[in-house]
Amino acid sequence: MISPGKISGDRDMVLGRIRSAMATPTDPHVIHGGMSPDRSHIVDVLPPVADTWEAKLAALTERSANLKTNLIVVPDRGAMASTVRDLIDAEVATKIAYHRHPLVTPNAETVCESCYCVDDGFDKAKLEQCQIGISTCFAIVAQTGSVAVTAQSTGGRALTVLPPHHIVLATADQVVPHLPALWAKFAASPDRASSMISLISGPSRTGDIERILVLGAHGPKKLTIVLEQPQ
Amino acid sequence: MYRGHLARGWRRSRGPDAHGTTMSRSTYEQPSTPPTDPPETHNGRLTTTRIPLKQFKEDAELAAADDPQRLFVRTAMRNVANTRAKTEAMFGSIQSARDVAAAIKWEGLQNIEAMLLQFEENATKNGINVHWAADGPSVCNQVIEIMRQNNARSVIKSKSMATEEVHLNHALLDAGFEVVESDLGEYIIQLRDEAPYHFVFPSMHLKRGEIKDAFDHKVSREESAPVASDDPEALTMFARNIMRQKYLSADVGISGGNFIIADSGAIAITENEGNARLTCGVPKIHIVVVGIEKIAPKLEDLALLQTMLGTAGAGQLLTGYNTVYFGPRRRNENGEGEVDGPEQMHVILLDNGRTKLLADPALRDALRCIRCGACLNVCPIFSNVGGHTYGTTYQGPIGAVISPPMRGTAQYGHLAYASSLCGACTETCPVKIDLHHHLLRIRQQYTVAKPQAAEKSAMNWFARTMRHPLLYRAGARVALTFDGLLRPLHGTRLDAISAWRKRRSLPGKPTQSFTSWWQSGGKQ
Repeated sequence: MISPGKISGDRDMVLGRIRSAMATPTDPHVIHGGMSPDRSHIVDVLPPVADTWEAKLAALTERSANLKTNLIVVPDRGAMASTVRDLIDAEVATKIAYHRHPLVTPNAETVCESCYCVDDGFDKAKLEQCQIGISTCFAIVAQTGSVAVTAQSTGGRALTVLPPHHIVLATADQVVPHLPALWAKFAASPDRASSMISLISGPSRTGDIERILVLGAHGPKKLTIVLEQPQ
Repeated sequence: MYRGHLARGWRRSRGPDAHGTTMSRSTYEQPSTPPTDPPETHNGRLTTTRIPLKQFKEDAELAAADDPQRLFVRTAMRNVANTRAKTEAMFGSIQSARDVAAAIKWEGLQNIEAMLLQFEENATKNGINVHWAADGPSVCNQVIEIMRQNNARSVIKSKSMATEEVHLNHALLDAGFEVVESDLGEYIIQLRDEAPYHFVFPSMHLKRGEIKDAFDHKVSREESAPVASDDPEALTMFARNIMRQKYLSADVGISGGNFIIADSGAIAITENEGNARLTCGVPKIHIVVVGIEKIAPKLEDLALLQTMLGTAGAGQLLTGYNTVYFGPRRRNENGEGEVDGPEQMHVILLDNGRTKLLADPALRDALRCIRCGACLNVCPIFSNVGGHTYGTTYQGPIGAVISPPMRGTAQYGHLAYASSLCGACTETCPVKIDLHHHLLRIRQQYTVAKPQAAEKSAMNWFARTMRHPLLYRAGARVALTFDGLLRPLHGTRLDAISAWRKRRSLPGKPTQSFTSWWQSGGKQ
């Protein structure tokens, strides 16, 4: 890409500067919080959430209200389907984007005529015209109310951020209690091969004008999670 | 823009409080008719030709005189503090969280060479092109080179302070490319041709009317119909609609990076608006410009680091979007795989003075900074002098600590005096940087670095006078005798203490010296 001489010049220069900088030992007055971090503490210092359905649901409900995420807990797949239909009807949405997944496909394809599946290559401008994007998720983090999506298994990068209303369909086993559990799950999952993982916490938001909260700055104005209870 | 005209006619009062030595407001009075001509235009541009110290003094005076603006900024900062306190209360232990976060970032810094090489190796395996840049011109040239090699014309940018630091936008515009900032705050100040006021909340100093004004006058009618009202919702939707088209049409997306993940060869980006998601997801090429100090050892560290960033920065447990990018779109030989994403991802690792800070054994922990902006939010000086006054990319206490080593202590060391040393910054820092002690260290370095001849000679004369009673007495007598005669010179450049007198009045002339009073047995 760039002329190799220039690259290696800068690379050697920066690495050389780092090496000579680090040759001087750190002043003993510097506060550093310990010479090596104890990562096992991370779970203790963060907001506590137990790994039970009740605790996770309570935390998720509280965080969702705080983030202005619409959380709908449904008893079974039938109720999930009718909930999605109601959401689409309420929007008077005619253009819906989705990706293929056992949770998503039946709900998306049965309810509308002009569904747009992103899996077989898609037109960015057409996706931008869709009012609703439906996807599943990699996981839901109860502690922070976040939906984790990956480029590999939840329809790529744009589906979950371009349409103004993002509907997430998930099952109870996808809910992890806290962030350390999320990263452990990710490390052990085939999704680790994904080029992107994103933690979505609520609808897109900004406070750049007089620090007043406005939803839908660039991404979705609405985020709805339809979550199936443990079966 | 500061309402500079308010400040211009400020004059010292000879009112009842004139003997006070404090800087209380009552020692000032405003002119009855504010002059209408603003002083030399200052719009927060970093490319100011003024000497940094002079610029700081002038701008601080204007900003500190603008009461409504100070109240506006203070209120905003207080709201952030309140939200943050509620979020911190949710933690198992926020103090232990600070310890662990500091230790994680410190681990990265202590092994920074090995960590960066580990990142480079893993990122290359992930299909990322890793570049290194020693300074600003180098990073700008490398970005332009990537643009030219791909016949790219237009850039959509998400917020990146590293690119602000090197003035990448101007370099791209000068080279004939189109550049649009997508973060709402950055877009507003780009339209106004200003520097960010606060490195987390770039447009926090502006009111809705000023923003509507920028949209009305700086956005062409071909690009968009006029904005309906000055309601924040309407203003935000106006920008949203413009940006939507830009994401689709831009050839290249340029972002910053919040964390460089060594063990995964990945870049983590924290944001609220979703603009970085679109910037890094829709255009064909994604370029990351990131400072080398953003190194974090492990992917799992994000569980704490991103939480600390959101909480300390804006009182959000996690901000809206926390995304990790492991490379460009992934597909196998048959073209199967991810449905979208950029074809190329470049990461440019930027030094630009960071190794100078690293070379200082007492200050190097300042590189732990995660740029949450919490020290600005609690700083009594920041909310009274405002962000543009600092004249640097990074404002507030952290800016005063890192700018002098990175950009020259002789030019920027004065920023360390923009502090009451109250320690609120140190207390609030999520990675426990010893900010207020560092400010003292910078002051020490500044004393050595700045020109010393005048001060040295003054101190020599003072020492000589104090050692010789005759000289002292003669001097005191001369001073008492000539005080009245010198009165017309007060406040002018010939007055040795004019800077001091600008803010305070000396008590009236004593009738006798202390020594003669003492010798007379305490009788007047």
